[in-house]
Amino acid sequence: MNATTDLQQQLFNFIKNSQPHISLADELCDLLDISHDSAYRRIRGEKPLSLSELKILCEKYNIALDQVLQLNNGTVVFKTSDGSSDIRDLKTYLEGLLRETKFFNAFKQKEMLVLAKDFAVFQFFLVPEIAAFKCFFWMRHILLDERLNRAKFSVKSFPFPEILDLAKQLTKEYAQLDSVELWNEETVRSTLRQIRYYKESGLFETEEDAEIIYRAFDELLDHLQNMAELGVKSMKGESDLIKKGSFQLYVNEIILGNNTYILRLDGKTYSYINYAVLKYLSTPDPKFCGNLYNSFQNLVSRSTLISRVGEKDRNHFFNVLREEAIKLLHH
Amino acid sequence: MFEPDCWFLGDFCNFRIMDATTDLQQQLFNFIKSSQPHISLADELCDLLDISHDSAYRRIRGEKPLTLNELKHICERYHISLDQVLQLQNDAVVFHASAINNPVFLFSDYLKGMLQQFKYMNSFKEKEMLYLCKDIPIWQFYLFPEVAIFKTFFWIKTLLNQPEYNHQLFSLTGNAFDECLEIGRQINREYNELPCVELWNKESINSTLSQIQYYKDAHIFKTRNDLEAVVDSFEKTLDHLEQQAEKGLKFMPGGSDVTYRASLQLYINEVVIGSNTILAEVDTTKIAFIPYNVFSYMVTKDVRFNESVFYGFKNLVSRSTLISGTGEKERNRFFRLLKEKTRDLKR
Repeated sequence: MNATTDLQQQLFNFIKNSQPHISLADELCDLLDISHDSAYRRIRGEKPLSLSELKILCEKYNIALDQVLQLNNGTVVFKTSDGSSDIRDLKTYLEGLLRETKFFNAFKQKEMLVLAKDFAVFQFFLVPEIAAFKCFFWMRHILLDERLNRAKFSVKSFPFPEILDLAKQLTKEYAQLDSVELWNEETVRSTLRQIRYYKESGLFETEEDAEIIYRAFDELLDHLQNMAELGVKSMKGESDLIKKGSFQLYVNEIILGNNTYILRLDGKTYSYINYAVLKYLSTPDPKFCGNLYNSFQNLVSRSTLISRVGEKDRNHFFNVLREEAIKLLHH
Repeated sequence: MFEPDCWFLGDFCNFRIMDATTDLQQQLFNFIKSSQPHISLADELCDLLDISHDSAYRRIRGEKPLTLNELKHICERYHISLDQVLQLQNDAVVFHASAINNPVFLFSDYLKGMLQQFKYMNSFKEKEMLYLCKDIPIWQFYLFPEVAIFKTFFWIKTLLNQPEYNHQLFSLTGNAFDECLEIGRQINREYNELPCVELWNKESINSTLSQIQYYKDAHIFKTRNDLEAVVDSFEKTLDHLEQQAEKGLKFMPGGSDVTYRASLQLYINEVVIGSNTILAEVDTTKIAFIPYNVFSYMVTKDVRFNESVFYGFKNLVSRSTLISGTGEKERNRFFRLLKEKTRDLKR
C-alpha cells in the first residue's frame, strides 16, 4: 500500500464498515457532486480529498476524524452538556440528562461507574422533597434563574411541577442502570451545607420547611442504605417486579471524588467529566476513557465494598453520614 | 524525547474559523502562522512533509490539496484537532490532554510540566489565576519537606500504583525525592508571583487528612516519629497559609520582605465543594484547566467554554466570604478548625 494514500483508504474502509448497506461510490457522486470516475479515484486514494470534501463526509457519516486517523496530537474532543447554548434553565438541563440516560438504557450491557463527590442527581430525586430542594437551589444559586430572585423555599409551593415530573422520570432511568459507585464521607457534605446555608440565611419559607427537609434527608439516607444492603436499585412505591439495575457501593478513603462518570455500553466506553457544578464534558475517546477506567479500577481495589456484603462497615459508614447530618443541621 | 505532560501549554491555541469564505486549507495555514508567528511555515513544511519549497507554497496557497497523511503530520506537529479544523460539531470543545499518550509517567516530569506552566503564565504582563479548590493546590504541599515527602510517596505508591513501591513502608529517611522537592519549591516561587483568587472550603484538607489516616490504619508509617513529623509539618503548612491569608500576599516560609509578593484573595465557599478547576487569564486570553483522573489536567482556550466557566466561578465568589486581608474572625475560626482536625491525627 502506498504510504501517501493509505490513510484516505482507511477512512473509506471505516465508512464502508460502518455503512455496509450503501454504495459508497454512488453516495460520493451525490455528496461531492463529482463523476463516478472521480469518486472511485478518491476511494482508491489516487486523488486526495480536499478539506471541504472531508468536512462534508465527516458530517454526513458522523465521523470523529481525530479518532479514526488516530491522531497523536494530544487533544481530546469533548461535547458539552449544554450543547451550543449556555443553559441557564434547569428544565432544559434535565431534559438533556433524560435523553442521555435513555440513550444509555437502550444498550443491553449498561454499566455506570461513578467517582462521587456528591450524590448523583438521580439519587437526590429518590425523595421528592429533596428533589424540590436541590432543584430550587440549583435554579436560584447556580443557574441564577430570574424567576426565583429573592424567592424563599417552600416544599408545599414548589412552583415547577414539570421539573419534579422530569426528576421522577430520571430516577426511573437510573434504576435500570447497573452502577458501581465510589463514595466517601464527604459525599453528603455539600447538600448538608446547602441546607444549613438556607437555614442560616433565612431562605426556608417556614420553620416547618426546614424540618421537612431534615426528615427527607434522613429518609434519603435510609433508602440508599437499603439499596446498598440489597445490592439492587429501588424506587419508592415501585413494584419489585420491574427489573432493576445492580448497585455496587464502595467506600473510598483515599481521595475526594470529582463526580466523574464512566459509562460502559455494549463494549463502548464514554467518559463524563464534571465542571462548573452542574455541567458535563463527555467523550468516547478510547485513550482517554481507558486511562480513566484504569485509575477508577485502582481506586476500587483500594476501597471497601459495602453493598450486599460488609454489614458492619456499611452500618458504620451510614451512621457516620447520619452523624454528619445531625452535626450540621442541629447545631 | 521528553514529552511535556498535561500541564504544558506552550503556544497552543484552539483553532477557530476566521472567515467562512476562505478555503479551509488556507484557513488552517493562516491559523498556524498566527499561532506560531516566529516560524517560517514553508521551511517547516519542507522538513515535515519532505517536499520542495515550491510544493510547500502551493499547499499554503491552497492550490494543492493536502493528503490525509500530510494533514496528520501537520496536526500532530502543531497540536491541532482535525475535528476542530472541520468544525464538525459546534458543541464540541477541544482539550489538550497530552498525558493520555503516556499514562505511566515519572512524578518529577509531572512537576516539571507544572513548573513550565507557571513560567508560561508568568511570562505575561497581565496575569491572574482563579482556583476552585477541592484540595489544597498540589504545589503548596511542597512548602515544608516532611509533608512534601509524604504526599509524593502517597501519590506514587497509592495513586500511580508504581510497582516498586508495592510493599514499601513510608519513612522520612532514605527516599529519593530530592528532585521533586526542589521542583516543588521552584513552582511555589513562580506561584508567588502570580496574583490569585482562591475559593476554599472546610473540606479542602480532608483528603490529605484521610490519606494520613489511611497510612496510619494500614501501618504504612514505618515509625511513630514519621507520622508525627508529617502531621507537624502539615500544621506548619496551615500556619503559613494562614499568614499569607492575613497579609493577602504570597511568599515563601521565612522569605524576605524585599522580594515581589503577588496578591492572594482567599475566600471560603460554603455552597458547593470545589473541583480543583484552575482558570487563568493572561493578557486577554482565558485558559481553563479542568482536572480529570485524580491529578491530571486537560487544558483549553476555547473562548465560549471559558466564558461560561469564568462566569460560574464569579457566581461562586459572590456567595463566598473573603478571609484574606480582612475577615479576621472568620479566618481564625477557619484555620483553627483545620488545625484541630490535623492535630487529631496524632491521637
